[in-house]
Amino acid sequence: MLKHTRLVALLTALMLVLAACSGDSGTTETTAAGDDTTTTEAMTEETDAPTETTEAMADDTDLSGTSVNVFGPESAAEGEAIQAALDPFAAETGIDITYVGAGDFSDQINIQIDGGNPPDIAIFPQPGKVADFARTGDILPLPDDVNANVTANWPEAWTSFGNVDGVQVAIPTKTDLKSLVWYSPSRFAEAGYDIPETYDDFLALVDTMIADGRTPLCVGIESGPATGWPFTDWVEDLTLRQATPEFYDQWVAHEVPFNNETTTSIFGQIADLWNTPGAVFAAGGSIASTFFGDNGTPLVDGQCEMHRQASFFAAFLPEGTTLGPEGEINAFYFPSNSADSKPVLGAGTLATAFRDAPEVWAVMDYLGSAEYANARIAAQGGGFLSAVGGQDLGLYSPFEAGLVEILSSASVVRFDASDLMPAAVGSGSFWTAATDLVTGSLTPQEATDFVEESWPTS
Amino acid sequence: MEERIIGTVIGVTVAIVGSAIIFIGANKWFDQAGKNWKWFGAVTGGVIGGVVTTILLGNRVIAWKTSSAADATDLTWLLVPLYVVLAGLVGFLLNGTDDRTRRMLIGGVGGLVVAGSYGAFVTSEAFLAPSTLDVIIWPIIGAVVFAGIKRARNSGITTSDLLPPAVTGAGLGWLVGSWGLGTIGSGTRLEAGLGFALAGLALGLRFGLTPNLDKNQRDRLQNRSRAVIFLGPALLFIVMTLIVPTIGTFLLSFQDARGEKFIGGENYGNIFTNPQIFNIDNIGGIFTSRLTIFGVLAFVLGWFVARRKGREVGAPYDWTGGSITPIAIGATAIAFGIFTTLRGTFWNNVWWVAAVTSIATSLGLAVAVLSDRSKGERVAKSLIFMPMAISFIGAGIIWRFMYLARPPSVPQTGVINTVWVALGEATATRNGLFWAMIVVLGTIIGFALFVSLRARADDEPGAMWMSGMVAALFALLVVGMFTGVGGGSLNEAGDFVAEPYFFLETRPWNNFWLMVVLIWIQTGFAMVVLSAAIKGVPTELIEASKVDGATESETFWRVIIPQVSSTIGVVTTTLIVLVMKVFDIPKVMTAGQFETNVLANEMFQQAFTNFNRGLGAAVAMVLFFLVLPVMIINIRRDAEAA
Repeated sequence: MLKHTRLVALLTALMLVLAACSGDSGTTETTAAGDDTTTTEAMTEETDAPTETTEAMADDTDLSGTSVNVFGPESAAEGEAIQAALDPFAAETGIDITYVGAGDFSDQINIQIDGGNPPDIAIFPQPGKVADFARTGDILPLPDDVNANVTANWPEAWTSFGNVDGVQVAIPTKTDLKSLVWYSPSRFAEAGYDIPETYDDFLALVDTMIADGRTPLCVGIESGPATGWPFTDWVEDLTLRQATPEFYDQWVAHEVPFNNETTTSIFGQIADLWNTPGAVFAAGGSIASTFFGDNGTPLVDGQCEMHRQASFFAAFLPEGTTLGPEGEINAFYFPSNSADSKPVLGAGTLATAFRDAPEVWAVMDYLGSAEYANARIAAQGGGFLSAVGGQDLGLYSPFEAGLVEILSSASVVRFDASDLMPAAVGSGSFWTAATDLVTGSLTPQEATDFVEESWPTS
Repeated sequence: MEERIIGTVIGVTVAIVGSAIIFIGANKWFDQAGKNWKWFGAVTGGVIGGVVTTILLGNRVIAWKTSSAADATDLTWLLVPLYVVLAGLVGFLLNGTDDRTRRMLIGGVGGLVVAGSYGAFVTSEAFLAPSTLDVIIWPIIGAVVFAGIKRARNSGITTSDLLPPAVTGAGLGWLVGSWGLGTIGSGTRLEAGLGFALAGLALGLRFGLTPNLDKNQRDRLQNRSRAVIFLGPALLFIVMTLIVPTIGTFLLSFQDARGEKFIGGENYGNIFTNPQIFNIDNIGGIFTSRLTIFGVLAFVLGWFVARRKGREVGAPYDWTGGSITPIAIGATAIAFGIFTTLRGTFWNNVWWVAAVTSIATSLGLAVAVLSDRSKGERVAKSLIFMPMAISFIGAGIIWRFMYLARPPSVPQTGVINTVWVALGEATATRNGLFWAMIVVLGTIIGFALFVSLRARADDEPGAMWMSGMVAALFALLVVGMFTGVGGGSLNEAGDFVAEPYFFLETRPWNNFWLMVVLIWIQTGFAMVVLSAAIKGVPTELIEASKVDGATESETFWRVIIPQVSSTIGVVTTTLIVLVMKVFDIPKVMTAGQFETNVLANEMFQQAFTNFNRGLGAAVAMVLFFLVLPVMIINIRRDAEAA
């Protein structure tokens, strides 16, 4: 009797499985059918206009009624500016473009791609991730016409970050300049300080300021889940200055171990500088608990004289602060070993496509264009820089135009290393090592050893 | 977008309607077992035929096209109804006769023909080339194994009883030997047809060999099927949402970062050799830790008191407040001493479980007892329960502001550090605030002492102890203010320099400051549950103990505690499971930096930030195995209670 009951149970279970499966396949079929139609359309359109550029396609082919969703890390005001910069193009072409920004983009995009529902376009702040997903085939290579426009519009130093194994898969959309030191021109003039020409001058200036009873530096590395990243910027900037760009590339690619002498020495130099009595405003062990954005007010108020931070720091200065040589706050280039070589540490965002459709490529093409940069400068009103050629420099403030000049003329540009390294290091152990070094629980050697050990083996 | 919504709606509707039809259909199907045995056979046959055909169709093993031309009519959709009818017919005939020979004939021939006819529809991709050896050996193995199992499980059965399992085994063996081990995609249509036919023969014979069920058995079948029909969907849901993912995670935990190839136990090895997760290098430190020494002393004191008082009452040990309190404090101190030397994510988690569970439960119990039947009970309990309404994320953010520390040269804005630094400045400089505080504190101490004495006179030990402790605490503070307490000191120049305490950065105690947040939330939970249990203790018991001359304290330890012990168990296990999975608080407050990581956050970082899926799954499994014993205890207790 028992046996029959079991048989019944098995059969019932089977039936229910079938029910569940048939319900599922019903859904899949419907969606698949929808996708099929899109693909066919896309194919027909591509065959219709194979030789035309995408821009021409956007004009000629009717893309109205189609929709494209864009996903990126920038939210709040920056996110609104992106949407505002996309809207004119949407109105012109009839494509329904939606931008969604999320603070935890880096985690979300993994989950979305893994779950099989990536956005049409994702804007990555990390070229390392772009390379990962391009190699798995999730990110599509740029079509020739889009690629041609990108190559024509952008300096090679910047497009190279979106080039994976010789194939262009990403378009730069925003470029940040990291090698900057913010200061108050009026206080510098008053005290008779000169803008340092070399890194040694910079260190000498720090000593002079301490001797004068001033606090030279503002440092704070707290940043929620990303606490520690401002330290990594210092390490990267100094690596570019104390070693060659080639060494930098090898270091990023882990062709030299992370705990090499140069890097360990740089870790030590930064720790020493920050621990020099009187050198840093956030004294008494509070560097790791001071929010990086909270360095603006003391800089303006004269509680510290200099702050090394990227171009976007303008957004963290107290509202109404005037910028530029004549303003309250200005920025000078973080000096190199000699006045002649000026390597630039940069960062930025890269747009990538996950769906092969004319409307997606049209939006991609627009994201890499000067028109997009112009629209976004106007919409954001500060804190956005682009190295794209042909943009209207007049839209920038004179201060920002100067930064753009540094960006687009630099011969040696390197992307923020922590964005290029594997996530386990670049957004993991490198930050942890930084906080542990700063709070004094690790020595420089222990800190670099720790990062080296955490480097993923495969 | 609209298309997708409509598609989803259609899909959901189809699934719901389909489930309803299956549910009703299954009920009707088993109704036939009692009412109409023939039709039950027909439906059962039809269901088997339909399911098998659908599975074959789903795997693209069979198809039906009128010709091989591209524009040929596709009749594949007809296959399912066709086989439902065919197999249903066999079932109908099979149940229509009680004669053993005829049943075997109907079953065997029916199975052979119906299954064999699949050969006509088999697609060329599913042609089969089995090896002769396999198709001979495996049915024999199957028959022997199944008959052997039957023999081993039932003693004293005849050889003819072994025949049905032998046939089943042979059929399964045949499937293994032909479809399981043969090369699919080469070979011939005939061999594929034979692969089906002989399996069908075995299935048909198997049914034919057993006699029809009698009336009683049929009714029982009908009754028992109800349980399966009602429970089936829920069980299936649990299997698909819980069991399958657990097995998937388990398998994934043995795979590499991308989940592509098996690497054995490497992930688990990595967890327990990673000093960030599992670090016992400083274990020797417990012998020099002041906390452990203090803990051992308190423990010994408690033991001594228990022995001493035990002799007085004529028992080996006396477990009441006088002995349990120092022992509990000592155990906590020893545990903390150990946890401050054991570092890493794993031990952080264990520390969380030990500290939050014990402290929240004891505090909850204390509040429940002390507030019981007192005047301000409702207000006090409402206030303590209120944090339960705050999400972990919200609580994390609130406490970040509580703990906030700013550079010494600017005013502190974090609540605790503001007080701490102000206290430091007052004690260091003996300013006006200092004397004002002494006056205020003196008043508070005096008032608390007054209340305590009044309570003592009124025989209200709860209030007496509470206000006594408050007085002692503030007295300690006054002593501290004269000897130096608070964040800050005078430098050589005589200026005050603030020294804020870095709650989130100072290790290893930053872990404890994070735990405080969860204790703050969960004490309310423990209090509410325990308070209800205490109110459920029969008043006769308490009155009887008082009549017998027990003091309040003795009543509590000897009457109330044993009465609510099972509730304490429930609170403890619930808290252990909850704390084990803690994620939000460290995530929001430190993001696992400064050596405050916990396993759940480690799992998230590995799986989703570092994209190391194998290692993430391994951490998840470690967490799972840690929670498992507690869950088993919980379930056992439930089973006992039922």
